[in-house]
Amino acid sequence: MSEDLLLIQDLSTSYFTSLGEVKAVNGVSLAVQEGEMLGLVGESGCGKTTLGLSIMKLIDPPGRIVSGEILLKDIDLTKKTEKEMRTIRWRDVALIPQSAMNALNPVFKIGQQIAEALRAHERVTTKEAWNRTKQLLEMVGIKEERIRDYPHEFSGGMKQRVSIAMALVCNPDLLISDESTTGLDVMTQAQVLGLIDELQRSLHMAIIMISHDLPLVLDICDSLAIIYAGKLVELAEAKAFADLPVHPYSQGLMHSIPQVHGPQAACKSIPGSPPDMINPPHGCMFHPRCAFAEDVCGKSEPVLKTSRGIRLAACHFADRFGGRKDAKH
Amino acid sequence: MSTSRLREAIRTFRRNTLGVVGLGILCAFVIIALFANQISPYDPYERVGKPFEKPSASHLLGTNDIGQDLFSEIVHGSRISLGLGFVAAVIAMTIGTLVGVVAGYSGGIVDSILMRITDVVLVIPFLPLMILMSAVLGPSFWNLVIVLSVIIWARPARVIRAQVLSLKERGHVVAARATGGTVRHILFHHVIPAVLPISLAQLILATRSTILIEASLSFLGLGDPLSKSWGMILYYAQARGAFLTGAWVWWILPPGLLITAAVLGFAFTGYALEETVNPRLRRGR
Amino acid sequence: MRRFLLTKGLQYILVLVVVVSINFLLPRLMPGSPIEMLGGEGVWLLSQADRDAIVEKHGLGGSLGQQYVRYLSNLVRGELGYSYNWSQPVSQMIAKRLPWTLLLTGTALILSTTLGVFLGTFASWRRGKKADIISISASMAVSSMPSFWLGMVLVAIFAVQLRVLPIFGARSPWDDFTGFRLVLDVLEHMILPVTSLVLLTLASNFLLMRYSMLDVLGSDYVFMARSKGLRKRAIVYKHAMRNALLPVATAFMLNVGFMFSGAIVTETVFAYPGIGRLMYEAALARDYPLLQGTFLVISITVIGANIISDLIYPLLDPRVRRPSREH
Repeated sequence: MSEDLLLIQDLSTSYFTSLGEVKAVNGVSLAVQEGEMLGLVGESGCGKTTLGLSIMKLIDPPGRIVSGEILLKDIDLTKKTEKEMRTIRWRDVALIPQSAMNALNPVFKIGQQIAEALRAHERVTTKEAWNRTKQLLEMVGIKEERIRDYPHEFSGGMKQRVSIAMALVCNPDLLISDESTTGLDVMTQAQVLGLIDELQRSLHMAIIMISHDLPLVLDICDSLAIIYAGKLVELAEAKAFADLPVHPYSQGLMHSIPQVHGPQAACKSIPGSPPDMINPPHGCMFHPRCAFAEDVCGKSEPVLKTSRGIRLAACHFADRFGGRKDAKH
Repeated sequence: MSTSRLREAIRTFRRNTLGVVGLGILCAFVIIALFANQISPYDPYERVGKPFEKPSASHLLGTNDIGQDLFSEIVHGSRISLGLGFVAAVIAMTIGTLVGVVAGYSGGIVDSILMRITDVVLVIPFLPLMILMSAVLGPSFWNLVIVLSVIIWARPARVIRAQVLSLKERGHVVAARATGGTVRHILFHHVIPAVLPISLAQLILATRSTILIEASLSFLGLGDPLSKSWGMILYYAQARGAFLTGAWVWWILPPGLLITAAVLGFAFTGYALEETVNPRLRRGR
Repeated sequence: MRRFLLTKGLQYILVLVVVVSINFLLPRLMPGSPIEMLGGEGVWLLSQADRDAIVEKHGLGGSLGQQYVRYLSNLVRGELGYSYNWSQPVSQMIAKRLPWTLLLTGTALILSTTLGVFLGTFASWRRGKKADIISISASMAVSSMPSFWLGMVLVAIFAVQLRVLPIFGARSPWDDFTGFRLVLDVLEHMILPVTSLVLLTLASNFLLMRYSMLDVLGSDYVFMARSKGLRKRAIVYKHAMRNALLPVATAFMLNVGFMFSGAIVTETVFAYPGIGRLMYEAALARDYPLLQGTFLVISITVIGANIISDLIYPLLDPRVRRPSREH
């Protein structure tokens, strides 16, 4: 489908360690439309960051993309050389990194760092680059005269905004935001998210929002992809998901969100712990922790399929869950 | 230190190949120094041949300018060079550990003053100061030891102090203070035992410096002219123009190579010790 | 920034005071009268009148405090005493020799730092590979060698055996070169001593830069530079190196003192007419005024070099230059 901005087909990325192969991303397929905000949700170590970095081909040894296709505007990125990727990075797809605290070089002014990203991809004069930088800083709510300041002179939240400005400098079609509000206090988190939301709407960018924070993602994303142990287990529109999570893992995630309103109940966490990625379980990755697991779950891997015509979920019994309303709402 | 921790430390050390090699080198030198009399064919102070003889069967490295056997000289030299170096390092480390512990534990003004002194010692160029002191004190084994230790203590002191600072926040020290242990008790039962392993590593590393500096001072003629330290042998080699003739191969090369080997031995062992010791302290007990 | 300069400034003043005081006190702590210290061993041949004249001239009379004051006032005027062994004012002897040492150590410092930085950078790219392991081993070996011995070996091989380079001195004493030929001659005589000095500190510079680069290359901002699609050259030389240089710049200060200490020994081996060799000669002759004078000048030069590098460091690290102000 050439309407998709980004189409990932059966992507597998592994890390080859001395202890064995870790299949961080294991046969994941998904699509992102123009202007869509997709949330990529999962526990720590489930492979969501690896997926995000794979799109930009920023996986370093001992990791590498093993198989699959990444089609960005119909161009297969997996076939591109490092040199070719250099032109594609930032211009077509940019990254808002996990720790903006350290992502800015301490010895250069922030203005320089933003302008250099632009100059690396477009033929602009210094003055033009500087002006655009000022424009972007204004867009993210930073006073223009701070363009000559150094990273250590900004607070955590402001550094995050600088990172956002930097990511936008070449007007990319796709933005990957990797846990970009982790480590910020709640107030700043809200501000930064609001900014991202606003920018996305006004600039009509597609954003992949990688996060372990489900409520956050439900709040601002159009659709969700749930990742577990390197596999995509559910793909849904945000609102529909909130009403009715299908996959048992998704259900577990929803149940573990503490309630602010309504009757106070104890949080239910998902029992067990994430699987050993070097010796993963047979069949469904989640079955050792699943309350609804049956024999077939340990034997064959479920495939992502439409359940009741509404949702994509990777569970043998998706249809069973697809009609139940869970106790949450 | 309990035996189990000691055994664990030995095991970690054994895995470090460079450290084992270093320790091997050191042991070899200790044996040479201890059995110098047995190993050397002649008494190094006796004239047993003609001056400037080339190496031969009877004189493995030839003779020096007054006819003493070079091989015997060099073997005996290990005693002075290593012995002096080690003694000076021990004294320097004692001072350094004391200063580091007191500064780190006391904090406040005591710490500031001690650290200022340490910094001053570190800034002053060491060799000129040592030359000045040696010239004033005169050449002798103990004068050299004093001159060396008075300067070398400074760098380890900083390392020890940093260690003590981090130890102060460590569980068992905080607990001891909370339960009202006297300062003496805390220092002797908690701080010093914890600091000893690092002191040992620093001691080995400091010996590198003392050996090299002693060699330099002796070479400059400020060492004991009667001692046979490797530096002194090289002093005579230079004074008699050995490097202007073919004699440099057997007169100049061997002592220098031995110094290099000894220093490398201490370096490998010292760094391996540091690695063995550090992760444990970082993990806490 | 101001605070940084203030603390550093005070520290250096303290060092100066200590150096000057050591210089003053040390010889006076010796047993025997200070006259022997000043006049050398021939002093006991002098008559009482001559002795009194010496005491008068060098301000040895009066209490220790008075002597100290006189000593300080002399220092300020640049009066460093008189060398009996060479019958010249100390300051004159030093002035003639100091430039040679500065030439040697200055060149060696620049070469050693530059080489160390570039070699360290290359080694960090080839981590674990043969070139890396070889260079690390070579560094450890070289830094374990006594520098004077290395100098002697170099002279023996290159000057004596191979006859490619001159054996000693700063320039050929019997030829009377001028202009360009003089420069060439001086350079030729500099090669071995400078090599000797460079090897002294090259190992530590190299290891430090390599470690620093490895640290920086794994940092988040270098990763960001890659994700921004910058070219490798920009990433390594601009982003990585600027940061990796910071610890090296700090170590530069320590190297200055080390280098001067090394210069004393190197100048002795190569009979180079610098202030280091002068101090050595003074020590041998037990010429205390000269010894004190050279010690003082060397210490002040080292302190001066430290001050300069302390002033330069904030230019490299904006975190020191502009302490953060949170909004």
